[in-house]
Amino acid sequence: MVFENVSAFWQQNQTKNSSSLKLVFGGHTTDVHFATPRLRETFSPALEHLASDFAIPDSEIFFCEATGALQQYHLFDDINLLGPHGAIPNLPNNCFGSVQPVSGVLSLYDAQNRRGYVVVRDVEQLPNFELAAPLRLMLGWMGSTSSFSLAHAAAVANSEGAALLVGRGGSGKSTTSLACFLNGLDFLGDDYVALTHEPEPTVWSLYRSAKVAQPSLRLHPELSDFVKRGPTSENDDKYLLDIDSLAKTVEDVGNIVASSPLRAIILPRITNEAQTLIRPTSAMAALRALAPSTVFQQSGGGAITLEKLTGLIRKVPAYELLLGTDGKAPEGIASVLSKS
Amino acid sequence: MESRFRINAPTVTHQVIDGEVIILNLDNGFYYSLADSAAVIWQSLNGAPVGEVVAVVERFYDAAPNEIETKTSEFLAQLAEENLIAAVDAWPFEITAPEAPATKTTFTAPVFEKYTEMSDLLLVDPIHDVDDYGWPRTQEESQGSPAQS
Repeated sequence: MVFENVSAFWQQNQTKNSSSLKLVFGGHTTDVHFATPRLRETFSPALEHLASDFAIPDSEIFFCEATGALQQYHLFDDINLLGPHGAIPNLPNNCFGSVQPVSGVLSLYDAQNRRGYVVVRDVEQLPNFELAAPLRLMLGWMGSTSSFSLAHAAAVANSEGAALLVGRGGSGKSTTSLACFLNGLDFLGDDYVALTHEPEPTVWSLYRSAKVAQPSLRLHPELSDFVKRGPTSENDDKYLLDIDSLAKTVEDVGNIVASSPLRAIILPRITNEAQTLIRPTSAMAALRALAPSTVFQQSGGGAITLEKLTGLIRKVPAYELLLGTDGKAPEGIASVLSKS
Repeated sequence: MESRFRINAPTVTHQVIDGEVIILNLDNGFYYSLADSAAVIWQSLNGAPVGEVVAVVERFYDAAPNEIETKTSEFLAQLAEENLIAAVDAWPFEITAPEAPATKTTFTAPVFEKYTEMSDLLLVDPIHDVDDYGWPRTQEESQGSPAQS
């Protein structure tokens, strides 16, 4: 019944100021309907670079917020237990749903009808990770039932193609992607991107946003001018950057691009050495760096996602990037792309 | 009746790449990496009698008498202890095994590498606390303190 309840909730939440945005990525077009102007103002900055007026959507997402009287709306007829990731039990086949345990954001997706719902309780209290990567869970579910995969990875590119930076949190992929961007490489994402396999492996930007931890701000103090929002809690301890302003303001930075052919998979690893080194590594090392953090954040569709990521890694060479204190990561990545 | 095991799908999912195996336990966030004889055993075990699994490994490796049988049985017990495989009485589906190389190599005991650092991503504490209107409480609301990640 939860889908019926949320659909009725959407009907209640709409106003004459509701609006829509068509987003194009990975060969798909999603029509995102915002019930209120506040929802659009809050979430569209990270997504607007994907907007297109002309594409024909193959899926729809309805974004609602529970304010005022709608806070009393009963969405769940019987909520006794949510599983890992706040997974909603007893959904129909080909449906996914969860309540994010930290932010309280409810997400539901019907893969057969390609329709999703997101309900936000308090827009003002949302953690930075929801603003930096809205619809992340939804996109993961959509990816597991269509031709693209959502990947927990950063990506940068030049005219030769893209490098996918993979690794668990703290491995240096976000900081490395920003360093590359500041040094003139193009930016596709610092935390999540979409991947497609045919006709050739391709990286697609999903979010025009970036988050950095305090140590990275010390390494790149020029980023402090573009902090949009600071940490909000122990579980949300990064700074949200206005990367669009950064791209328009700072000289010699790269561009924010929509997609690029994937040429290399990079595993960054922070070292205490002076010199930055880059060297080939195994496909299994790349898969271990990419797949677990992607699959375990997904709450459904894990087996299909693992299969798709494995197929992609078979096609693309992988390298270990040993990050030294010399700050030469952008040059190392550019050198790998030039050999591809 | 000879014992046999199945892979504990759908809780467990796996892929093979360049002869190595990655295994993910979707319930607890643990993942595993298997190579060499461990990878051969994993790719042979689904539904096969243990004796057949041993025979497959013997086609890949040279070893002292009974060493492969002993180490394979021990390894299967370890995989079962990790809930990656489960015992079955019968298997009505196809049984597959990797193709042995032309030349055998020296046997080394199978081992797996186990990784647990991602388990917190699953946020395994389920939510079962709701407010008066039926909204699930967030972890912070439930605990009255910063949420555990």
